[in-house]
Amino acid sequence: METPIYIQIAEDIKEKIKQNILKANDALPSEAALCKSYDVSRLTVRKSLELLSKDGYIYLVQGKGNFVRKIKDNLYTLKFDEIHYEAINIDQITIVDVDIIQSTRELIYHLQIAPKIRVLRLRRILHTEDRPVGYDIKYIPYYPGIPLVESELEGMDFSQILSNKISPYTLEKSLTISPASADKEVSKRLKIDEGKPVLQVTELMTDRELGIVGYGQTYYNPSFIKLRAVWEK
Amino acid sequence: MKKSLYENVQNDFKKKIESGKYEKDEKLPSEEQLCKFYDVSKVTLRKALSNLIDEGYIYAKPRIGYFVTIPENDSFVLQYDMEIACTESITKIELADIYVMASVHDASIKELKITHQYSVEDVIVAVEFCTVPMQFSFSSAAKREKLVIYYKKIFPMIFSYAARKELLISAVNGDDTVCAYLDCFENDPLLNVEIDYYDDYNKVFAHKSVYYLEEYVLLNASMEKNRK
Repeated sequence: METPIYIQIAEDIKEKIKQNILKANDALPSEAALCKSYDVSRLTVRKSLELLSKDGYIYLVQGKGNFVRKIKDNLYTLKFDEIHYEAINIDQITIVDVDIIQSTRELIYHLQIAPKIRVLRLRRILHTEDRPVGYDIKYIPYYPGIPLVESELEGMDFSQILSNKISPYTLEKSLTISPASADKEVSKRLKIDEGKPVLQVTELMTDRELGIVGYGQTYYNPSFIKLRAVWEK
Repeated sequence: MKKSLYENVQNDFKKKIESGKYEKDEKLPSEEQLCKFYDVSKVTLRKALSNLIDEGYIYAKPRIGYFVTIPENDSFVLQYDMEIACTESITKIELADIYVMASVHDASIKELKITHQYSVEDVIVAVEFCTVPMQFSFSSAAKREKLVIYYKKIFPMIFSYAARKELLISAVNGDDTVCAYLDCFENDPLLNVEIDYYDDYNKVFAHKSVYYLEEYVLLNASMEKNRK
């Protein structure tokens, strides 16, 4: 059976959008013009346009006509939580140390705090089957009330550590991901040779009302942990 | 200072929601019931509810009611393409290699292999290995010119047929080939992004593997907030 004509037209327009002949936010030719150029009835053209709009290729502005929607083909969904993974089971988290430290120049910069403010530093190692696969360092401007009991901190992620201070509804997180060479410290913690590649994920936590509330860095042994992101039409 | 009525209602809800009294997508009692419960007017209640919507605690379905939102604190949006991944803008893209090869999964299927080099000024910052299906039967010895014509016809459009794309991000050292393309040392850390392109039938039809020099790459992801 032949493909219905309205689908053929829709496909043709899709093709033009994909090939960038019709660019994002360009106006589509008017219904009348489309009728003429494809030599079909108004009804058929309407059906094609409906299909395109349903598939998210175009949008209608009342009284103006149809426009090409910008295809967001570069927005991927990344599930990330520094201590939980789909692909690998983090079965043990051990604490290296918890300290209240003087803020360093780097911390003052990242946390945007006054130089005198002290910072809680929590360093942990993530294991899978007795093998260290991640080294996680968190910095939190020190507010009294944050738990300092090591046993309580062990299995918590960033949001949980701060949960009695900050509402998850006003919390925003951002990540940066980059490759790095394991330095002395990281290689020791992950039990790999110095200079081996590691995946470095930096996490910044911002509260809409309180500003920056935490900064963390996690180093992963990429033989065990890779990050997965998905895009779907 | 005494808090206004709507603020009391609003804060009470916040407390209840934050303490985990409600499940994700649980329906709140009707407006009438809530008015009665808090002993406030409908106007006051609506003000409180509309503020809660703005702050992302609840969402409304017209004619049905109000529902609780539980934030997903592990869901990020990663914006990724070559331009965005590179910390400096790419000034040159070169076709470094093109050839036909039998698929490793099925020798009867021929695939087109394409290698691109991405440069920022004089520095090659990334190398991209693409594998795309061949729709025509070129022999493995097909002339390069012929392949280039075919390539120009299908590139980069072929990737837009994806119904689903999957990225796998890792840190690696380059093998000999990668190091030669990037002109780097074998112990330089590189970012590796593998991309699988799935068709409508959930089968992988194309693949890309990209290696970036450490100094020129940074991926950013931010949280999806107030998603409807």
